[in-house]
Amino acid sequence: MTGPAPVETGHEEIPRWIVAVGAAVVILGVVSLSFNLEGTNPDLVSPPPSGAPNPSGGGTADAMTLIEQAGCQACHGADLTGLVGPSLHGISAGPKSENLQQLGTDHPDDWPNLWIDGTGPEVAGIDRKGMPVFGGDGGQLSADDIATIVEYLKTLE
Amino acid sequence: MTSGNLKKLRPYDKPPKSNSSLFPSGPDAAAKGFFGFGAFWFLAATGIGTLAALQMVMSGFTFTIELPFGITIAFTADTVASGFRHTFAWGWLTNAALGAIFFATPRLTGHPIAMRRTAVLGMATWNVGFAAGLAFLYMPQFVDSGSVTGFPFVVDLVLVFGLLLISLSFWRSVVGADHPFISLAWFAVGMLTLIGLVVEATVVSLLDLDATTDLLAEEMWIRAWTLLFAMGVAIGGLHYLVPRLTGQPLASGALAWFGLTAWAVLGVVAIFGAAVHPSIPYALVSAGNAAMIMLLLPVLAVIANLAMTLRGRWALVLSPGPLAMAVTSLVFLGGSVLLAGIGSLRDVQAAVAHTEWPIGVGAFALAGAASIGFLAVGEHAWPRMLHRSHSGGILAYAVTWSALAGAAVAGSALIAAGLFHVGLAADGAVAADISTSLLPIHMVAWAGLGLLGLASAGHAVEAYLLAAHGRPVHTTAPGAAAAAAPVSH
Repeated sequence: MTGPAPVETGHEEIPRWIVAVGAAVVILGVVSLSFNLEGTNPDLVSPPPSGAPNPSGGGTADAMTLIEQAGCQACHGADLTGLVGPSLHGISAGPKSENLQQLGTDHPDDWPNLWIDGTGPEVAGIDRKGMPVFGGDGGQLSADDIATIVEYLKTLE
Repeated sequence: MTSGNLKKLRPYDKPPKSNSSLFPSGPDAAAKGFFGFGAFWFLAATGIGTLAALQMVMSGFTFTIELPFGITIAFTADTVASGFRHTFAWGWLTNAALGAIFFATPRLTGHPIAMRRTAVLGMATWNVGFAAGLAFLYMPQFVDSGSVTGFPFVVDLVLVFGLLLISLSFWRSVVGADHPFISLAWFAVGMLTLIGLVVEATVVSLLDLDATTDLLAEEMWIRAWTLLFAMGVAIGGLHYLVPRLTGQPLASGALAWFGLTAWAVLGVVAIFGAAVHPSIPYALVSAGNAAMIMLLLPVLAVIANLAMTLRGRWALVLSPGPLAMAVTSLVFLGGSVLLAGIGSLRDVQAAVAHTEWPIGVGAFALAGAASIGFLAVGEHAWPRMLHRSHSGGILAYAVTWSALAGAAVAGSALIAAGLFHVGLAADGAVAADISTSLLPIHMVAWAGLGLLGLASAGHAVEAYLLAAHGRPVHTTAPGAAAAAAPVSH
């Protein structure tokens, strides 16, 4: 009852209308290509800016890409207002977490960079409370990446 | 060592009976495992999708679970959405595709699957690896975002190992094929693509690529997986199913081979159409776009060939079950490739790139063409694998219609949302307002996916009822009848 049925391949003639439509599709593709051989691609791969302020004029998209790639939003929330980790809004005024107060005092300008990097002696004795280390050799983010992210985070009120 | 007269052995001298192996090696053990795990992951994806829909309505509906050793499991909008995508793609679609391959292959070649225990071990490894990867997605402290899969490197390695075992069994099985079967050729393309992509994802996770290169690799990876693996294997499954369910030969062998060749060549070129970035040569992306448009050609060949195979038997489509689902899958195949072609026109591409349109097209392709195609193969396969029969009844109607309606509603809603999105953005609406305006349409899309989830639940219940209460029937062992049949597809 349920055994495989023996079937063969036929040799039916292909209807002409299928050939005609197929030819039209090929012509459409060739015409589309011939009209699009020169130019510059837009950047449709990177996610669009989130709508946050962008004082640097072009860094937001890159920063958001890096933030999404690094997985920051998993702990700090989709809008970075905090979830498991603290809110990242308002860090231009200094760190909010108690464990980072001393770091903020010692390094008022680049404490977020040091904290995100996580490999320097400046942060060696600080309890990271689950915050991953992103910098260093083979780290997920380069120093430039971290700088781009921090520059963006400091714009968040 | 001494040898004795076996007839004079006393009872306690008899060699112990061999215990059953840890890994079953029945004729369809791997196929059953793949389909079983596929149904399980489909149900899991439905649950995760329900959570994602709730989070969309209640933005604060996120929670975390604290475990010992500082491990935190976070159910945020990001982790839940990512979990849904991964469970649907790696859990459901990949298992179902491999199930279709391991069910159809021995019936085409006329020989049992080679290295059956290896295949079962590969199936188990793949699913254990995926389960671990899925768990890691919810533990952000362990996620390696450099990987295309989103899994930690060690999980990628486990997946590669599992897939190597599966591939070994598949290729050993097809080497013995007496004819160049068209379905096997589709499966072979799919298997090559899958192992290539999983290896590539593992290698990429080792490289220190910048964020843009990572994104480009991911976009191209997704398109290759969709076109050459998920949809390709589904088309191969349809070529297996339709002639058998109609009892008629495949209408044209030449058209079938033309369709496969054109799909494989154009599909590879179309991958570059996904890499729209200033760093990629303009002409290369244009060639990818043109190839995406021209993919309509092989799709037309496939649809025409299978429609001609159905000639005189269209009444069979009116009954719920595998054939109705196979035809539904074909309709979604045509619709998704047509819409993808339209979306590859430069102006359309720029307008809809960051909207719901591409997701809607993906829903037609993966939830419609691929999922319904695999459900059709599953509906056909379970009675043959379990050697049992049942009437189906109202459950068969429910599975067929909810799958059709679910994929149609989800895809249509997302495409409509994409078009509204374009209009709202053109009017200068900000992202938050656009999200609020489109929320009802997004909910309709999730409801559609929920309907598809109901179809998967119905499919799982059908398989259970078949195993528990089905009427035993005599079925031919895999390959036995096919070996005698002069088939060529």
